[in-house]
Amino acid sequence: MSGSDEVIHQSLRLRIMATLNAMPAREQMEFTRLRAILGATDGNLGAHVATLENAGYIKVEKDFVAKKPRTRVAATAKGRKAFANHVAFLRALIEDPPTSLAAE
Amino acid sequence: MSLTRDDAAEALRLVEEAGARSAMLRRYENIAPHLIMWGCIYAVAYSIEFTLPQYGGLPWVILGPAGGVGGFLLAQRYGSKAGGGFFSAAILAIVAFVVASVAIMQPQDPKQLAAFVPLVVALIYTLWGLAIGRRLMVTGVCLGLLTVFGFFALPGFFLLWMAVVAGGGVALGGFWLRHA
Repeated sequence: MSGSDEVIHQSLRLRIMATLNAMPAREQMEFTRLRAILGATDGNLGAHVATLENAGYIKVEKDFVAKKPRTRVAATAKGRKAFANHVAFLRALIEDPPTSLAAE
Repeated sequence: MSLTRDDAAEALRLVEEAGARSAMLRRYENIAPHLIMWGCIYAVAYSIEFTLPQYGGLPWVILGPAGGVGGFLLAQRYGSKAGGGFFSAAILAIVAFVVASVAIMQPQDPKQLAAFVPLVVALIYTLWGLAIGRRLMVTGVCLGLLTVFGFFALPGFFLLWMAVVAGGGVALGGFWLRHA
């Protein structure tokens, strides 16, 4: 089992990954849609999206539709794997905590 | 950073909430185009039935299969790869149920058939909505209530009622799902 993924574990980044991971592989979600689902602000979401993109966990594509800018994001294979590993780590922590925690 | 069991439990709760909401909204996005298309078909078919009663159920003979084909294409466009096959099987099962029911009950008034089909559709939306999301369930309940109300309260204008309120209501339900 892998350890905690510090990139993913932050609350909003965890929710971003959970939201994108629930979509089929290679399917993209518009940034505005993601912002509405998560109830985040543009700046806050943009910063965390950039962190995930830099880690290679999500892919960001920008284009224009009817002369309006559009940003779409999608979880990468690396991101999905990292997310699955992190969730497995969290589950294991609850079901089979380290000895020091179990004694608390 | 060391995580406690409470931290892990809270993180998993966030994951499950976000994942469930994402999946529900994706299903809404897939279903919305179907509702908008069928709402338009209801509006057009019931309007023709009301204004040109001499043609009887001909609008449905044309628009019903057209809607089936349109739905199949939408399922392939917006749903999963298996969506088209699932949609086709579901439509066939519904059509078979309606045909068998009508054959057994033999309605005497065309309005009975005009009310029965949307009631079946309303039941499907409601049950489907119970499984995947409240907005679809509300759309189904509203369609059923509006159909029953129009049938008993406005017998002389029932087809027009169905064109405007049921057709428009289903299409609006589709937009409501799309913007969830």
